[in-house]
Amino acid sequence: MTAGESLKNRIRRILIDSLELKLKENEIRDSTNFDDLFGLDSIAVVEFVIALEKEFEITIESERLTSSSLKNLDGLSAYIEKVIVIKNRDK
Amino acid sequence: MIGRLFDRIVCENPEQIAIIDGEKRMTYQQLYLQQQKFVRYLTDELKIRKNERIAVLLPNCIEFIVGFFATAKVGAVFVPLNTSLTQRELQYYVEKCGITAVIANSHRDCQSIDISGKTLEDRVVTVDKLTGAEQPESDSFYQTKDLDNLQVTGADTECLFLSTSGSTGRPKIVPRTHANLIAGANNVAAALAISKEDRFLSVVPFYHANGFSNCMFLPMMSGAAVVLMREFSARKMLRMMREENVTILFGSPFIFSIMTEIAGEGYGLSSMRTCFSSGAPMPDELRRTFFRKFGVKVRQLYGSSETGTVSIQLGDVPEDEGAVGRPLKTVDAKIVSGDGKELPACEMGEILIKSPAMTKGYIDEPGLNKTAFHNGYFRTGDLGMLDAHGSLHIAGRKDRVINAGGVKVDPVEIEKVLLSFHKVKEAIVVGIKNRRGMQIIKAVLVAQPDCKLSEVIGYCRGRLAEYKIPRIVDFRDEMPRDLMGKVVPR
Repeated sequence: MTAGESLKNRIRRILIDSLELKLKENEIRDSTNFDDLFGLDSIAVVEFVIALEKEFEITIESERLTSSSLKNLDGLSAYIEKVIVIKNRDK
Repeated sequence: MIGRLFDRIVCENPEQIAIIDGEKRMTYQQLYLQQQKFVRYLTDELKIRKNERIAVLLPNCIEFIVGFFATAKVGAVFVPLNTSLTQRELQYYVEKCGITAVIANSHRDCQSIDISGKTLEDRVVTVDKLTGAEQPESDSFYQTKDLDNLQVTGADTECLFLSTSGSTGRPKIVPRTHANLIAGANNVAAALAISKEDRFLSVVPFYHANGFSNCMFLPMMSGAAVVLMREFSARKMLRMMREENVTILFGSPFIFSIMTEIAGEGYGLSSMRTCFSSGAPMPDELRRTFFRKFGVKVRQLYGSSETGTVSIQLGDVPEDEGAVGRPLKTVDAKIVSGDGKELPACEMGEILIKSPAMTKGYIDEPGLNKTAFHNGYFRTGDLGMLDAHGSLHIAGRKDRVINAGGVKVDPVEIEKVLLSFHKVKEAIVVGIKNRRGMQIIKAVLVAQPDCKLSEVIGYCRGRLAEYKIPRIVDFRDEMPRDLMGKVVPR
């Protein structure tokens, strides 16, 4: 598996686990919008962000998750990859 | 009445900071001038008359506060609404409440609302009409000669409509008068010894009863300061609490749980003197962990849109998730059985409340008011008891209402929407506990074989606010039923 695919799978697992969704991982495709699968209210956003921050040891602005570019795994994994690179560069 | 009281607060504390919004600081004097500007706009431009109903679609912001005190001054009714409501849901409130004007960030927030047949542009007030600092006219800034013609609004005039959910399929509108709000604020201010040195972090949305009453109205009526948070961000919240020396926090178990999760051991909040949790039971373990990390006790608060704050846990905090303290000074609580008999201490029944902060009845619901309000008491629908010391304990709800992170959600309303989707044959909606002990919304459906999850969610999204859309959708071949054939939600 490439690093990008591994990242997406981690995010997929975090999504299902943090929001306690009763979905299988293969039901969340890379391009599936999160809000096609469940109500993405402010509480869900906070839960998901906290879990992502813990997993990747980064800081994510909650508002970013509601922007259209981060509404699925493709967009979110690209964003997290960038944040990780910046964090590692600034160490 | 509120107008005059607010005028007095301003005269006594003109230089006191009233609102902190990021880098911006606003004194009571400046807030007053903004209010006066908006009062003129309401009366001269919009021709708002007494008792007219003004809907408000704003986050926690300066304009919300200005809008409320200006509306109260002209004797109109302020109707704050959840900013995530769909246009269909907004239209329901417009018609139910008889809305004649809307305050919003932009016209786009309410573009398809039909307001009394008038054109939208005439009746939507965007926030730029409420903002714009004005310098005081030397020492006479508090003189409002041109506004003295405004009649003093009577104590029993309605000034606020709140929305609340039950399990009837449609939200109810709760009117509160000037006297109700002032009585409620006085009760809490006395219980907590609120002073103008206090700083409240306003993270609970102002359109919620608790957010409005305890995070906005109470500090403003006490000469204290409000530190605004437009949206919940746990890290930002912790930073603001330290930077702005917040002394009081009203929150929910979810908020305290997230704070506990992201803060390190011994984080400490030296300025904080007290925290209150409401909306749902606070797990004992969470309360202990919060105290260990922050050195502050979280006290349970109990109340409702209909009654205002009923009780607050003061003094020693017992290890009982359902304990919510003794009723406040002018509040009377009793417990009744199913057939209406008052029960003695330590016996479980329905909680009834009587309070000067209480509404007299829902708007336009005569049948419901007959059952919900009886002999001056309000039937809360909460089950509980009074212990031997007079403290209330909450055991649960009589009805099916879901408590989703402190927000009441009507499962019947969601079921109606689901059943209106042509691919869904049967639907039942329940709240299930997540690992934080809070409820999330689950829909159990019997649907056509080709019905997809994305179709169901997409259908709901066009008709329900985001917080009402199910987190989990469970497709079944048939509904779970008990031996009598009754659907058993699980």
